Order: sequence, then structure tokens, then C-alpha cells
Amino acid sequence: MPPIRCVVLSAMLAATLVAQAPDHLVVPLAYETNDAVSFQWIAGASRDVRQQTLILQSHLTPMLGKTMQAIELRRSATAETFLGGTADLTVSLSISPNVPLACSSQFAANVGPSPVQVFTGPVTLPTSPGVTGPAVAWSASNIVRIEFQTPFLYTGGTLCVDVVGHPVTGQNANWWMADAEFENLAATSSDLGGGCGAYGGPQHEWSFVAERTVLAGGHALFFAYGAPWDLGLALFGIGSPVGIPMDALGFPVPPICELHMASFLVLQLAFFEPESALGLGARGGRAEIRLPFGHDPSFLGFTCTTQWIDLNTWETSNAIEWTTPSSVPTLGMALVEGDAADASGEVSVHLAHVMRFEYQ
Amino acid sequence: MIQDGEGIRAVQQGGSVSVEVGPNDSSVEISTAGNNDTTSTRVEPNKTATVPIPDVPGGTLLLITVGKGSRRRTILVEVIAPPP
Repeated sequence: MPPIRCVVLSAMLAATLVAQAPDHLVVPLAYETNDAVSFQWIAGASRDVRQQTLILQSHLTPMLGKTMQAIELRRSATAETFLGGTADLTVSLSISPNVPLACSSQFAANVGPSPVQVFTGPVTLPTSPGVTGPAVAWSASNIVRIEFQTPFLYTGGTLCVDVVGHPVTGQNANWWMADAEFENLAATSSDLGGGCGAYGGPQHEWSFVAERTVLAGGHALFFAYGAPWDLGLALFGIGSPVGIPMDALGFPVPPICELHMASFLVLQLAFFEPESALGLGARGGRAEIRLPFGHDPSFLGFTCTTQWIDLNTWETSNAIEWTTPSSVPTLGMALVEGDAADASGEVSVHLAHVMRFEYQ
Repeated sequence: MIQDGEGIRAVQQGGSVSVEVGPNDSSVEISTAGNNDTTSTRVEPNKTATVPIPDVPGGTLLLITVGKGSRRRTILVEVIAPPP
């Protein structure tokens, strides 16, 4: 029989170990065990990428007042083996001034006042044999684990997980896709016609709406192709199925160039910036307009029409009438992703990594 | 045929190209090399955009891109034969 003080000491040690065992929280919690519908690449796995994820406090309540110690990303379920590699990551956490549905495309604007760099250095992406799901374990071969060098005390608010990743030469993991949730919301659109000019093929369809971005709380993306460095004017307003020939208004263009706008609400300018990659020159330059939409009822089921005019030639694009979805994204997360050297990125309020946080 | 473009890849299946998109871009653009006709297809929840192959002769190169500028990813797909 062991001495009494030995038994007491063992009991105290066991109690201490239990007290120190870290807890885990998966965000979104619905994917604690099972694979989510989508996937998303990882910063630095093969390219210089910055990924900023904003997470609503409602996802993080169990961590309030606790110290965060690690983040894990789980592989997406598929029969495919993901070949491993190494990424060079720097991770900073802060409390963002922006909720996900009001996030900025500017990285700096989403970072809170006292960011903490919790990790910097190489991170292993393990070679991961195929897992078909739906359950995917948080096991060593299924996860990318970032163990913090500096813990982070979560005191509440929208958490900003800011990851800057650089590839390591010879260690690229070209297709290591992490699990991600994707909320299936999109605008609907219809083409009203009216296009003319050299771009967009025989139908002169050189104007586009990125339907996944056109929703309440999103950063709506409208783009068009035209002669490199010409100036494009994007008209937003009430569309008209009946076009007005631009030549009837005195513009020096063929009669097929028609304006399909009954009124204008917003006018925006953008240059058709040429693409430098081999073979893309004939496509023309690409002009983009991004409009941050509020996450309020006025942007639900909102119908509008977009049509471009090349101000150098007065040629018109096809007009596109679009309608936002009738519901707000409920993911409670936003992803801002771009080149590591850029000041801004592409905003998604419908798509984000599934993350597991380790905390005490 | 699978082609990796550092974050995107494409599989040609019959009369369409299935493009898997790793980044958070919401659409895929496809054009024929040397041609000014571009189409755009949205990315579905499985992060795939299914793009019909245009009616072009065998040997034509298709340019598939997501994003713009420093975010742009490009892959080339060669059409072996016209779609049925």
C-alpha cells in the first residue's frame, strides 16, 4: 500500500492534468465531426496568399475569457491523397472593429487595435490519404496545425484570424484543400441585350455580374472586357427591356448599340486594365467595379440593372438585370483573401474555412 | 487531363471542362486563345464551375482564369476534338 502522502500527490497531479487538458471548439460547430460542403486552399501552400477570416462572437462563446493556443484546419473529404509540403506562415489575431457582414476588402481595416502575432515559422501540411467522409477525424494526417508561440486571450468581439503565407521552395503542396463551408446564395440575372463593339463575341456580351457576390453584406463585383486602357463607365439603375439606340442620341456608333437603362442610380468609372499573361491580350482589358452592399433589408430582393459604356468609343455592353437573394448570409464568418503583398483582397461572406481552436 | 494552376485545376469531360477553384473567387472565365469572346461561369458550393467547351476546332487552346491582376490564376486546356 503506498504511503498516504504519495496517493494525495498523485491525485493532485491528476487533477492538475485534467484542469490543464485543452478544450477544442470547431467553427462552424455543425462541422465538428462531419465534412462541410466545400473546400478552400491554404495560404502559402503554393502561393503568396493572405487570408483574413472574421468570426462572429456567437461562434466563439465557449472561448470567452479563455486563452487560445492553436488553430487547426482539417482536410476536405475526398478519396484523393493530398501530397504534403511546408508553408511559411505568420498568424496574427485581433478583435476586429468590423462584423463579418460589414468587413472591408482592405486588410488593414479589419485588424483590431492591438493585434497579437501568435505564430511565425514553417507549418507542415502532411501527406494525407483520401478520406471520403462524411466524418473526417481531426487526426495528424488530416490536419494542418498551427501551434501558437504566443497565446491569445479572447475577450469577446469579432475575431480576426489574419494569416500571411509564403510557399517554401521545393515544398509546395499544390492541392491540399482544407474543409470550408459555403452558403449557397446568389443573385439571379438576365441579359437585356444592347451590346455592340469588338468584344464579347458575336452577341457583344462583354459585361458580367459575379452572382455569388451580389448579396446583402457582400462586396458586389461587376466586370467587363474592353479595349486596353479605354475608360469604362458602369451605369447602375432601372433597366428597360426596350433599348434606345445610342446613335439616336447623337453618339457616333452603329444602331445596334442600345442603352437599356430607364434611369441611373449610380455611375462608376474604371479602366479596362490589360492582362499581361500570354494569350490573354485578345480578351481585352478587364474593368472591375466593387460595391459594398449593406446587410440590411433594403438589399434583400433588390433589383437593378448594370450596363457599361466605353467612353473612348461610346460602344455599349450588354445590359444585365440582377436581383439580390431575399435572405442575408447566416454563416457568421467572412473571408478576405488576396496576394500577400496586396493591401486588399476578395471578400466572401458566404465562404470560410472550417477551423478548430484549441484553448484553455 | 488535369492541369494544376497553383490553386485551380481543370478536368476535361466530354463537352465541358470542370474547373475546381481553391481560392475564394466566385466565377471562372474562359476564352479561346486569340479570341475576344469571353464567358463567365459561377462557382458552385462544391467549388467547381462546369464550363461548356465552345464550338472550336481541335487543337484550339482555351484559357481558363479566375481573378485579376496578382490574384489571377490561369490554366490552358487544349481541345483535342470539337464537342459532340
